[in-house]
Amino acid sequence: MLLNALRKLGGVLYRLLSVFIFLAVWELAARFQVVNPVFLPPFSEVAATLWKLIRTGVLLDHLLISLQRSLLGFGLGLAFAIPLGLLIGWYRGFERFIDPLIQTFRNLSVLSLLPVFVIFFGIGETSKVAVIFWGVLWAVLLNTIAGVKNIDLSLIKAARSMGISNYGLFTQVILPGALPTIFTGVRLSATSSILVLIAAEMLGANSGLGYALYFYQSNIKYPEMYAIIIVLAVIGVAVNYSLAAFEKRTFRYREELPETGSV
Amino acid sequence: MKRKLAAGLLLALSVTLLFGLTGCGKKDGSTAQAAATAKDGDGLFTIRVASQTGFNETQIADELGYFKEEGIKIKYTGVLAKGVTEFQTISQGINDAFIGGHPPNVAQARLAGLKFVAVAPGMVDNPKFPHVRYLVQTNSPIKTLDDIEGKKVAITSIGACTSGYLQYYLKQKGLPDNVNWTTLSNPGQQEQSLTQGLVDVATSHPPFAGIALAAGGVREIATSWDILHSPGAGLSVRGFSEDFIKAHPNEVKGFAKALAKARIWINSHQDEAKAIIANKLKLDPKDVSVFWYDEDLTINPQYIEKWFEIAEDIGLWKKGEIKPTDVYSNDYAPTSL
Repeated sequence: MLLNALRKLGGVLYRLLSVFIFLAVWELAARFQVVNPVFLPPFSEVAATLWKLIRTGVLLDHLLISLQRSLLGFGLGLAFAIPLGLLIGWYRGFERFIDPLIQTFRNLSVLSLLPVFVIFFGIGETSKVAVIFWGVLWAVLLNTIAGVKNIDLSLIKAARSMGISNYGLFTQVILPGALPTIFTGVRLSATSSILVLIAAEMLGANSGLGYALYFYQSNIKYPEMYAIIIVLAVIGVAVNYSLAAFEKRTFRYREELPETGSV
Repeated sequence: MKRKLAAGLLLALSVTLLFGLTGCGKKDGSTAQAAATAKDGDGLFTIRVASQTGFNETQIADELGYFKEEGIKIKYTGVLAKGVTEFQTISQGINDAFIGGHPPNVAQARLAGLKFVAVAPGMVDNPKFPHVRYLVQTNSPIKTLDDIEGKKVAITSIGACTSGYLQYYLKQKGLPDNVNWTTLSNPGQQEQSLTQGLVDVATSHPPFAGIALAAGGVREIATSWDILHSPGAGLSVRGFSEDFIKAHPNEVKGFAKALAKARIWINSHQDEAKAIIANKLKLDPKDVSVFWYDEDLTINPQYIEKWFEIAEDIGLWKKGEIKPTDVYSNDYAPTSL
């Protein structure tokens, strides 16, 4: 019993070990001046700075506005991409027609489009949300299309043989079948909505994590800069893990890949 | 066994990553000295600076042979990436001298632990060649700086000569500071946004101010001169790390002297100076904005004090954290040319 608990604890610790080692190397490299501590302040100093940013409420202001932008862009992206993806996946002819355009757009870097977003959407909130919208769009869209297309044909045939209507086929076979794949796209997009946020907040922002990052860098405030980077990393990880957990609970019917490696 | 191996690999990986990220520079300028001490075959001492994308007196001094007279050769190491400071590249051993920036930048570097000192002035504010021009759309209801209350004012970032001067102005006039600051960090983006009507006022710097006015559709309501009435309002400074100055005091003196000659020459030969820069940057001379340079051989202490006052006002640092005399030294300035 105790042994089991210990083993479990050991397992958890082992999963975090790589992070701890990284932080320790970071701390020591800065402490012993293996690297210039001005440019890489020790982790403890960055952590203290982070605490200061939390305590003074500075971080919360930036965080809230960033999350608002991310969620809005992400939500709009999903609302647009999932129906469109279902449509494209359902009508093969339409897919052949639209695919070259999708492939071209999806390979355009958001960064290269920033000036275009400014021209069309200005420098207010609209352009920031639009950048995030663009950033999340493609993963969801392509996964939705793939999800619909890859549904087991025998399922469709079986349903058809039972005389199902087109509507019924869509709601009872296609949608449930495609959902797990769609959700993978959602997960990927959620992460990229955070990543793209940084670029978005360089468009005429006065607040937000991306703005804070730029501000601290150009004002040579490196501990604050690293603190913001850590916050971004934590958000990214948190979003990804919570969506993964949700996915695991919701889509139990999806076959799990066997765990690789023996560790 | 496997775990140990994995942990070892990870350790190695993180060490490489950390070193790679920070360029492995142990202390400020130590690598810089090692690289720069070696004189080349021509007997000239190499001083490395960041490549310029606009007018800078260093290129003029170089072109006119002023550096060579002091036994110095200038090497341009490439344009700075966005957000990267000259102080960072010097500490990484890429450059030796900083040739851009205002006194508060040196102060902020020092506060961060990077010991830099300005040894020469650069451009200064001048009614005919203003450092900052406040631009609005031609048909804007904004007539003077008193009208910017509650308006959208574009700045490149929070700084003394962006938001600072205007806040100083509002304070002097006893007006409320409820300006809606909008950060547009990309060069030229302020002016573009002004033309599009996305902001009400641009705090425009050369060369974009000149380009925007020439392109039309915008007009000037005031300049930095109108706010501060002092050449100091535009003061840029040039300098080195303390370590470099300690190791090469004579070369620092030579550098300061060459720049002083160039400053005086530029003020009396503006068209020739523009032509030199245009040729170097492969631009049309009419697209090059010339600056007015400080003809003093030394850095004026009052100018620095003014910058400090404004920087402290906008909270770049707390009063007393650093003194104006910390950021500059006139010990290396020429006494005659």
